[in-house]
Amino acid sequence: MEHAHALGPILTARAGYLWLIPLFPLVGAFINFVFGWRFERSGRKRLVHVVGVGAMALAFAVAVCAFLQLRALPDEHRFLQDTLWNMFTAGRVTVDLGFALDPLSMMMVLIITFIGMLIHVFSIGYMWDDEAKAYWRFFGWLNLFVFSMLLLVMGDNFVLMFFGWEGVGLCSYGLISFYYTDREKAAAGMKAFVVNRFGDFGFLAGLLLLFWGLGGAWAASGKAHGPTYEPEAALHATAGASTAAESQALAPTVEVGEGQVVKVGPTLNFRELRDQVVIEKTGIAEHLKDQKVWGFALLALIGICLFVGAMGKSAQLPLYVWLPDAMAGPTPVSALIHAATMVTAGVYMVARLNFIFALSPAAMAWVAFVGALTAIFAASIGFFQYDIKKVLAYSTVSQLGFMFIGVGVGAYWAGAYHLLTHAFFKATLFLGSGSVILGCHHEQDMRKMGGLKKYMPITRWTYLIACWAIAGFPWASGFYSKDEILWKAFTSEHLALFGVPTPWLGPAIYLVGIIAATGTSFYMFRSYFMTFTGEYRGGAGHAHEHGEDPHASVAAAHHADPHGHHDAHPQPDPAHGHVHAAHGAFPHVGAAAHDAHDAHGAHGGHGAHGGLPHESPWTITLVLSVLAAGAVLVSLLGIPAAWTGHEPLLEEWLKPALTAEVAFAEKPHSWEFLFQAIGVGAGAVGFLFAWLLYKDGKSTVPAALKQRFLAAWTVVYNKYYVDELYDLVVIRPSLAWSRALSWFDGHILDWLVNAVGAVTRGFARIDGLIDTYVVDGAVNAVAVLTAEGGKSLRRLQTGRVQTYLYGALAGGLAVILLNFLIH
Amino acid sequence: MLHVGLHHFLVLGALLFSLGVLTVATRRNAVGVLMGVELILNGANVNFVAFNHWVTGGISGQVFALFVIVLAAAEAAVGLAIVLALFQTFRSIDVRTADTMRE
Repeated sequence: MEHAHALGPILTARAGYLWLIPLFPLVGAFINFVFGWRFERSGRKRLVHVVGVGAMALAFAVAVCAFLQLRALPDEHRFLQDTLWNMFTAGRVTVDLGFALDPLSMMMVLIITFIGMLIHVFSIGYMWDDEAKAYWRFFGWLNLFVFSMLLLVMGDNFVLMFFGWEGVGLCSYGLISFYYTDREKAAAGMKAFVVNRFGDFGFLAGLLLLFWGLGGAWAASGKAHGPTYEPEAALHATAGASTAAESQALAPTVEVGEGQVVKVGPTLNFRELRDQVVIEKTGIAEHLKDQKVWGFALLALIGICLFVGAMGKSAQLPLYVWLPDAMAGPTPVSALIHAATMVTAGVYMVARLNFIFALSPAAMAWVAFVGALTAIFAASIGFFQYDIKKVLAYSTVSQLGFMFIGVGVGAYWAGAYHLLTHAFFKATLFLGSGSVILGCHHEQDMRKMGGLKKYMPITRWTYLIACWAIAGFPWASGFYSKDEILWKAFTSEHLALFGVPTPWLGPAIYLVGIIAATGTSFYMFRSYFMTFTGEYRGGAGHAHEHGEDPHASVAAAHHADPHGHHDAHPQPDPAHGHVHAAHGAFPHVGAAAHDAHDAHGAHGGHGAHGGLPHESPWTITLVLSVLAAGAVLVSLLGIPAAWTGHEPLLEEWLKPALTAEVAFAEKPHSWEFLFQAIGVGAGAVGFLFAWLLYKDGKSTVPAALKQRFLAAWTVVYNKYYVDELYDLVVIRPSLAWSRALSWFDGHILDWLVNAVGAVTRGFARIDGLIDTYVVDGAVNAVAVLTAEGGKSLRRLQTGRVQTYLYGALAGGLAVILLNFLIH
Repeated sequence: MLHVGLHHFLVLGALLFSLGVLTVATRRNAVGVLMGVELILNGANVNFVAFNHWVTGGISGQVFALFVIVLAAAEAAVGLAIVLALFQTFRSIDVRTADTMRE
């Protein structure tokens, strides 16, 4: 990989206020968690969302200030640094509580705070009448979620990133299990948490490998160091440092010209890492490339391990299963998870570490490959879902796949751009679906919607715009990001699998991607047509139709009762729960349906509206309008160079952060136009099919097709039985394994422990006997002998002078006699 | 005619000494014990004088004898005082009663 121009170390600018950005949501969360229930109980419920939204607004305001400051700086200076204090120092490694903003994290912070703020506003309308009666808890978690995500993107080192990484996992658990009295929803939260833990393990493993690989003292080559480097001195240096300054002084450095010195060696700081890897003169990049672990290239291992972490957070195959279940949470949570936070973490991390990934074509190929597979896999599941939120969930998984294609083939800015556009249109879609669900009295099944455009015009238009964007039609943002990604995938020349360059992989990924894009367009417009066109189907029962659905539609069948029936028995009936229990260890289909059921039960008073859908309150429609406008306007940031002759604004903006240069084939612009046309064509094909099959809900073709391909339909409808597969492959073996271990523990280990105990007790008893009889006996014997001796000897002491005289005389006699004897 | 020589005196001294020891060892009466002590001292005196006369010459043995006599007088005075104290304490001068030092 050749660098067109030599890169220098990042020049930082101080911005002492950055800590305020995560602080506000944290304080908001604190206030709501500690005092929120008092506000709510004392009738000042309004305060809860004033605090929640206020914290977000303040954070956004500070973020905008930071953006303005960053923008005013020259390109190579665009790095704001705010170090609060040193958290710990170990040898040459220092970890600060420090925040940093470069163009990439700036973009993320703006997305998180802006869309997060809008979602907070949306939640006011959505959660006000919620039956859980925990308005404060909802806003507390929401704020904490945003705080964690801000920590993740703003932390200037891996430790803070990992705090945030785990924090969003925790908060997603708290929010998905928001209705924790429902076992299935609580289980969905747990599933999200556990699946994420799998990914986190990979992240941690990759991080430690990277840390290890940067070390040079044990490496044979020693290239990592400058000419003045003394290995022994460096080794000894690990001893002394106790403060950051000392540590800094001890760290091995390489001079890279004009008095610029770069710290090399193991580090947790992104900037230090970036400087030493990116600047060729330090030799660190070569050093990393040369290393192998058990015959595998170290860099590929690092990249793949880190990507496993990204898989967990960003819901890629095979760790995507938690995301659809995350629908168990309230809809704003889904929007927050899917649009602004959490799932973008993985993409962000790969983009942040672009310089590491770029060094390993194998790791990048895997990222792109898994991304493409996920994109088409999740899109196909989305085809036949009836739950509007499920469609969107699988759409998110699929779109995340696109982002990974982008960052995987080396088009980091395109991946990040898709992240941005997706944040807008997916937030619109999710909040739109939330508005629909609210308007239809907590109905989520699209078969019981239809014709809503009459009742909810604003929701309908915003939803349509977002569909337009996600399907990839020009003038809405999705087109620019998706086409850029696919174009870059096609021209990619960087990928390699198992050390062999694979020029065919890029076009293959392109092909998969374009099919997935067609599918995206199809299922999104299907959801649009089913929801908003035709006649409203909410009033009548559709039990006969549901009855035909095998397996997974059991929950839906229950669900299909007429509304009046629901109100008659608001408690979930036991048979319903039983069906789910038999269905598998993870609640998937059931969770969302159950949600609606319960919500409706508690919402009996809603029937007074006459059962017809209604438009949502102004907070919701306002948010939808803003987001839909955003979904169109962010397209301005990514108008391709082929159109204007000027590189896209966002690419230019992100350039200082995404320094890795990856080889792409040079193709004339005419090719690019052709591919854009193909992209639009793919979207149009998807739209056309959706229009033909689902427009106004009149066509009988879908039902006929379903009958014709019932087996295939069943497999896809049940999400390829992946959850069941997990149940079979992961959960049951682990349960069996734990049972075996439990048996082993209960029988073998306990037996061993007991045996050891028994032997010890036997020994102790013998020892006790010895002690009692031998040792005590000896001691007592000495005592008794002494006492008896004393008793008998005391008779000699008569106190009479004459007795003593006898003694003296006897002594004298004895001396005399001895005298005779000796001679 | 019996010739009186050193041996006779030595035998006399030994007899006196032995009788003195016997008296000290066996008498119950404290005054008797003191008298036994006088016998012992005088047995020794006989030896001093006899050896002075027959063996060494000069007067040193006789001076020793005189010293012993003075010493015996002093001893008798102290001894009798002890006997008086003994009597006042135990209302008896039997030496067997004075055994409170036994334990």
